[in-house]
Amino acid sequence: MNQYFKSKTSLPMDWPMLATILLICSLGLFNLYSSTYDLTISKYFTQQMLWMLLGFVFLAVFVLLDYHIFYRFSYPIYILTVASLFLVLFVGKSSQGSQRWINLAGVTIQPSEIAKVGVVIFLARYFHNHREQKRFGLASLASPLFFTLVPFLLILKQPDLGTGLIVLFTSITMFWFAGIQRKIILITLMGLLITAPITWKYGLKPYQKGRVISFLNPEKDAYGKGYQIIQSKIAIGSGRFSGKGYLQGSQSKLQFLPKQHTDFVFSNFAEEFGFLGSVILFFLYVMLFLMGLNIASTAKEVFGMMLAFGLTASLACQTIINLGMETGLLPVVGMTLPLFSYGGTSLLSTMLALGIILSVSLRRPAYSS
Amino acid sequence: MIRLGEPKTKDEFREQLFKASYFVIFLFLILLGRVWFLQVLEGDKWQKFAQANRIKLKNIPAKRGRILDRNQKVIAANRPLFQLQLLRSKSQLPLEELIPELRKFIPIEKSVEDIKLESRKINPNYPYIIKEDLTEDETAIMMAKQMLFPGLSIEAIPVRDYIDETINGHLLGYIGEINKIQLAKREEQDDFSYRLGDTLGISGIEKSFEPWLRGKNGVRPVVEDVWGREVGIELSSDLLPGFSPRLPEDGLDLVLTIDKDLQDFAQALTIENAFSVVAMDPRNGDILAMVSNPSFHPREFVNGINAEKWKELQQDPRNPLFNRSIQGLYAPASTFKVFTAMAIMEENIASPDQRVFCPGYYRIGREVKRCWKHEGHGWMNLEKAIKNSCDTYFYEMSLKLGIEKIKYYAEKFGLGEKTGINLSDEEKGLVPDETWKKAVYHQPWVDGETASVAIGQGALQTTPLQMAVAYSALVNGGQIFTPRLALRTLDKDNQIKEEFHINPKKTIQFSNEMIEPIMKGLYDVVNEVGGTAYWFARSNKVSIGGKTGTTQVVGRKSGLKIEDHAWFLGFAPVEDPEIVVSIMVEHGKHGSSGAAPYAKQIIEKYFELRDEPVF
Repeated sequence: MNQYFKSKTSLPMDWPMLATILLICSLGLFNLYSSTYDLTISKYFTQQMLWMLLGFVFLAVFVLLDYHIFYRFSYPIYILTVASLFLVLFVGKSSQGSQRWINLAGVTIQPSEIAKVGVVIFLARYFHNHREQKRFGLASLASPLFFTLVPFLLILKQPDLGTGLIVLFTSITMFWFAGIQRKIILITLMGLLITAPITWKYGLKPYQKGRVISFLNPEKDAYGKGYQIIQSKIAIGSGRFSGKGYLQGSQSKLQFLPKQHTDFVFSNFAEEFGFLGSVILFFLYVMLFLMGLNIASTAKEVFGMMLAFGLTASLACQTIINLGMETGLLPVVGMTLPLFSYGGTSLLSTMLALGIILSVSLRRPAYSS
Repeated sequence: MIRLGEPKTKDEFREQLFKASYFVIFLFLILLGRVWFLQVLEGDKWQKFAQANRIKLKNIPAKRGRILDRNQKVIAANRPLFQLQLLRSKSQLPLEELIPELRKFIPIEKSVEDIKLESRKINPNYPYIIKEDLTEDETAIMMAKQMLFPGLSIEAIPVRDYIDETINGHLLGYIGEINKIQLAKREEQDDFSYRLGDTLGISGIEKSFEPWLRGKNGVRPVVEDVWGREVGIELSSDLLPGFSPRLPEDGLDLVLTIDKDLQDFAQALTIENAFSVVAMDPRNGDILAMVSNPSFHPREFVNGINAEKWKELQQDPRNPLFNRSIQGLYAPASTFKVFTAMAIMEENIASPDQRVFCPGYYRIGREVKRCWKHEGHGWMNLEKAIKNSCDTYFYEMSLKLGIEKIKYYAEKFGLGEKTGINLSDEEKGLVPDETWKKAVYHQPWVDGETASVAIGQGALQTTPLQMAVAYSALVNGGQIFTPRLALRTLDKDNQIKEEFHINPKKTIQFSNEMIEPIMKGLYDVVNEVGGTAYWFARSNKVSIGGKTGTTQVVGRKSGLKIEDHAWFLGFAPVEDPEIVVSIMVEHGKHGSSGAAPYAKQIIEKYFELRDEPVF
């Protein structure tokens, strides 16, 4: 184990990226204070602060850890991931109709969050081992697809559509990144078109259907499920160009906004900081993801490349879906905004991913810039 | 250290990564465009909402359908009830200060402590009702003072309004707020149309006709200021298309088969004891009146009955919560003899003219069974046996018939099974036989019991409604009807929405020769000197036929006088009956004096009402 910590890094710490992370985190904390300002339970802010501190410790550990260890242990990690997903279905703690947590020696963990990283590690190794192949065909994609679908379906069963979709989308982008034949893309698209009605009929829970319907036509169900979307739109829209000012957002202060400190945290931010604030936040996120992709492009070997790419894709996916849903572009799925939303699990898993990306960054060949 | 090879297609990967970067930028540009659209282009529109904002969804309660009698006289309607509500989340004053302030304008019965306790159980974002039923004056005062107290509001809610004080709670039933158990039960059956706090029919007609009477609540988006007060900003539909108000759909008016005047008349009969009256139209099974006394007023349940009143009703020894018309089980006594008579003739046990000598008793083995007239009736044929209600005649015939045959004919007339009236908790009664006795008492059946059942005593049990249905079939040529309670529903423009059809249940075949001597006997009971009801039910206005019955009551009930129950089953006019009246008076002593006079009054009232000019 020690060898992974001792291995010398070829580059100094990626300060610009760390700075970006810190900036987003502090904006998030700043915003959280506002979004939970009026809530009766005022512990959110201090709690999240503690999570942040722990998060940075997490980040530091994974930065120092040589990411090659994940290559070596990718299969055990994968097996543990799937096992914990199985376990959660049987001994999981229920909350609001879904089983997402298991309790391990006093620590509550959410296996679906681990799966987000576990699947990326697994696929990174797979594509590394098959790096000779330029474009993957149906046969060579069968096994990575299978190993993606198992955790995906297990997460869907919990049910946690949001995280499931991230796992799926991340894997698909990784396939694309590794290179796939054109016809596969065509076949997949056709397959999706055919299975969509079946999934709609049998695969989705009533509440999930309701969300899709209310997304497509929020006004139709303005009193029920569309309420969330409409209130979020009012919050964002009423921020106008320059925002209402810090702690001045009436939508959230008067609690019209549901989940204003978790899934709908951006609405609160956009209400108080307006279009300008949104631009700045978007810019920071874009910077973060571009840096992540840049790290991938200069990684030492295919494994590091796939790893950095996959983890960046996963975070980008989550961010874009969350923002899309808050602005009413996408249906509402339970999904947090990385580094911004309240919640320890979400924060730690994000920090873990970023730590690994930074670890790849530090171990790039010195000559590449 | 793991040996890792140099990627071979690094440039290709790089190209992919460029694409990926552009894709990320592209997606964020879409998001940015969206935010630009919402915040800059549409910003002013959303700002309006946020300012005025606080769109709240208000429930507009639907009116429950009215309940009308067959001539569309109103039995139950609606009136507005004004509630003084408080949204605690919007209130600026603590309750200790607010309540004394309010008391300066209107009396508030609840103590501050109680209000504090109660309101704490309610989400501060939901209204807490400080005072339930404001008078007109109080409403006016509070409307004016409302603006002084943020969070305070006055809501008008339609509630049941009953026209009369003497309304019979058993038939009409009462309404109440749905409770969590009822809600869960409905949701289990995929009925999600109720929410906590909604009203529903809990008993009687209110319950049976709930689907028609209940309307559909509407929703109205209202714009409130920061203090939860409604501000008069019009929510135009182009601002937010979905937030157009949904108007409530009021419940349908229900036209009953009940004749309110007849019902009121029966209800107001001056009978000291508990009694039941069922008046039915034998031509179609319409219930014209159905009274069970003592009763309760449904108003007592409108805003939730208080514990004290409930206890009082429950502990009343006369049992006012018990609907005797459909739940009361009594031996029908001599009123049952007509069905035994039917069996005698159908089974050819005796011709109508065959006579039996009544010395005042009848010997079965070692047992001596008495006729009610101890000195004896002398020679009796079927008609006379009915007219005089001679027990001996039926004792002797019953032994030739046997219990199974008696049971067969009793069940033909619907005894021993529910009539199927659309009211819950109906009892089905009992027609005993050998198997029943064996199962319940593990003893063999004896002939004495057959004789008892033949004269309507013993273990035989019927409800007043069952007897009305059975007599209706007797006088209408053999048609058993499922009693009908409602004729139709009307929408708010008084247009017919739905008709409830008559429900013929089954037809009993019998010939005219069979029924004639029985009908003659029933006519004699009332109209011939010596008939058991001659002095009690004979009318000079209409020809009434009928049968008395006196149920032997044994045992005693503390605090109440114990006498036999009095029955009378009457119908009129004898030639072509339009009404059957089944009346049962608990501890009324004699069917003749204790029940028949009231049946006569009801029947006369019916014809008086029928012939009254319609205005």
